[in-house]
Amino acid sequence: MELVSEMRDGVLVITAQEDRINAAGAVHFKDRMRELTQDATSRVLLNLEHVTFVDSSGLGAIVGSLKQMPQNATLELAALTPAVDKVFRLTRMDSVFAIHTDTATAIGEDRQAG
Amino acid sequence: MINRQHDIDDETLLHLHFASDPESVGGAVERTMTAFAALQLSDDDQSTTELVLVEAINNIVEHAYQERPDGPIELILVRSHSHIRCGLTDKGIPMPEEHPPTPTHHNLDCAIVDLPEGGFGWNIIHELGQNVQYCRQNGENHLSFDLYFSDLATGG
Repeated sequence: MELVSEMRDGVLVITAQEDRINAAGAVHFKDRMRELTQDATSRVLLNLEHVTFVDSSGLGAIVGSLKQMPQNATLELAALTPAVDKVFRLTRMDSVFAIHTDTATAIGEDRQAG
Repeated sequence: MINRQHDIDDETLLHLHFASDPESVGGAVERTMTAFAALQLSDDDQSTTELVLVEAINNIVEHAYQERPDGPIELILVRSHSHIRCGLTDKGIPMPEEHPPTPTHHNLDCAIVDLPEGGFGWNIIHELGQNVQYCRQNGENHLSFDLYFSDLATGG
């Protein structure tokens, strides 16, 4: 699972570059998320625009990524494709994460709030 | 038990035998999705099919075969007028007390550290599949469920 991170307006944006987060890549995904977020101090946004399939193992890895966030840092999600959105709704995990339409909106909201 | 009683209009869409290693499972899912593509379902129905099949097969790989890579899995898809019946058979260990778990919703109103990271698969199968049946027979697990698609009843 290739994840690319960049700072944008004070938000750490992590973009998943592959189209699937599933049983085969779940452990690696969570490990890589830990590396990228271990020094985070505020908002982290996981951009899922390229991801077209997440199974329950992939979902577990995304929840695990939230649970391993450092204190004071938050994990939010952006740009869920329809199939991915469905998995979050079916498991009601959409109630646990702040989910944004896209990355730009998520960062804009931050600007308005700040 | 997989329902082998067919109506005259029923048509076997796919009948696969594959092993429980990740590569074979991935190949089987790919072949299944190719078979489904021919039905010209909506993207939403396609993704529903893929998700429920992946969850059902992952369940076999992780629980029945305990990640053993050489367990045989049989998949049968039968098309009826309004739905597709999916049947999966494996020779792994039975579900606890030979009964499938009752689908339960996790309590998510909890501290972040207490959120569940697993146990979603069986619920997803129940949410997306209908008439979910499981039985243990002759040392085999038989799981079956129906997938209903609006396009299927109206389309060719």
